[in-house]
Amino acid sequence: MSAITKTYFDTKVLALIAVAIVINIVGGQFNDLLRLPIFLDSIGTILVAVLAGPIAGAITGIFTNVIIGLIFAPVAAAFAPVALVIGLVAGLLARAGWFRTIWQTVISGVVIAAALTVVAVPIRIYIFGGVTGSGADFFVAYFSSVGQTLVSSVAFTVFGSNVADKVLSALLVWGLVRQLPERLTAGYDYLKFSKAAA
Amino acid sequence: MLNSSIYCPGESSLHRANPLTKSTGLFTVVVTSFLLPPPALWVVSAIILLIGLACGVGGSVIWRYVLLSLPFTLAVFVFHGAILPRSDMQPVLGWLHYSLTGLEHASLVGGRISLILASSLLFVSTTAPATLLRALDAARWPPGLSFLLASPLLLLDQFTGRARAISDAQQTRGLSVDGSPWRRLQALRMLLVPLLTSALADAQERSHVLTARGFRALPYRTVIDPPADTRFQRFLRWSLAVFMAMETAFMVLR
Repeated sequence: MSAITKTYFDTKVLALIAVAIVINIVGGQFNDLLRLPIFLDSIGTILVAVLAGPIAGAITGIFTNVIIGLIFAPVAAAFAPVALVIGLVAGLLARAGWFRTIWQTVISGVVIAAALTVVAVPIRIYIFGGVTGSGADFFVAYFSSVGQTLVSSVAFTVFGSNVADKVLSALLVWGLVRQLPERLTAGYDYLKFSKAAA
Repeated sequence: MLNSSIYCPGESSLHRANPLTKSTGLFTVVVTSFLLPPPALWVVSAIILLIGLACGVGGSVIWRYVLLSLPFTLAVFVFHGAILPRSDMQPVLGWLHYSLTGLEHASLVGGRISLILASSLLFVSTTAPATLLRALDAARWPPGLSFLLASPLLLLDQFTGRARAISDAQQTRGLSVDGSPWRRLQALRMLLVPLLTSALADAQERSHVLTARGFRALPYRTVIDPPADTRFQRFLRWSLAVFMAMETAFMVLR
């Protein structure tokens, strides 16, 4: 707990969170260029979670969605709890040493996708009725038409559309933190949990 | 994602209202949307769009409202009205069926999102982010909170330009952004790693500057020109907060 509070109140972590929020927002720019079927809107959140812990990661997630909601698409704010969970779970996994090897990182990405599904499904069903007007709605419709309940249809769709994105985001962060020079990572207390066996 | 800020400068009474009053009003509309019946949701949405027109932001608000709500409204009506199996499905033509209860539910969900979207768009199109931050500072919110809202907004253009420059530079050096998904995934790494590395360097520099300025020397920041606030607006905020608490209690207890 002391590590959590210490990093949370550090000015360096605040500055990191601010740039990570921007990375989350502009990450989609590369996605548009490469036409990949992923979101790339959580790389900054996972990076902060690995470097500065679960609370900093959760804050990065919440503020990303609040700011997107404030300037681009207000509906994004409804999914702020999902972004919070991504940061929180990524930070807890990093603290437990699950960003040390490539296979641990892949599993961490899957766990993050599973955790966000638990939070995203009630939001999508209760607020949005199960659909959001995106391409993923076709999958919800397909699963429902083959006999799945609304909850399981939405859950399969959310998990399926997020798992590749979260695994890839986790792997990109894992690859990055292994290569970063010490001058850029000095002062981030949580990094030692992800680098010990690297 | 829409790629430009929604805020439209203006001099309407809504533009001049304190951002804290507007945000309290927005939260009240959001909470109320869970209590209103479908026809009322659509009627209030239309009234809010008309308020947008009266405030001089109608064009922007209505355009974005249509762009964001139309795909959702279509999806929710098709999904709940014709796809999700329900006990009252009626045949229309061949394999096409519809459910009256499904359409009623779609109207409720669609109307709720319509209202939340219209009121959110009206709020963000009449509230400059910088004014909102000054209002938070004037209300003595912690400086860290204001920083986390303000700093990304100020950095956004800079990082968008940086991302474009990295993309151009890497492509000039021979990076291909076409080809198989695997090739494009490899290209993603070549684009993201320079951006992330420069972001970390940026964060370090900013933290040094903030520390040197005594950024967190006081528990709150003072504002030279706080947004105008009146006794009536403060009364309105408290009234709306009490109203929201009553609505929430009603939803929980009913």
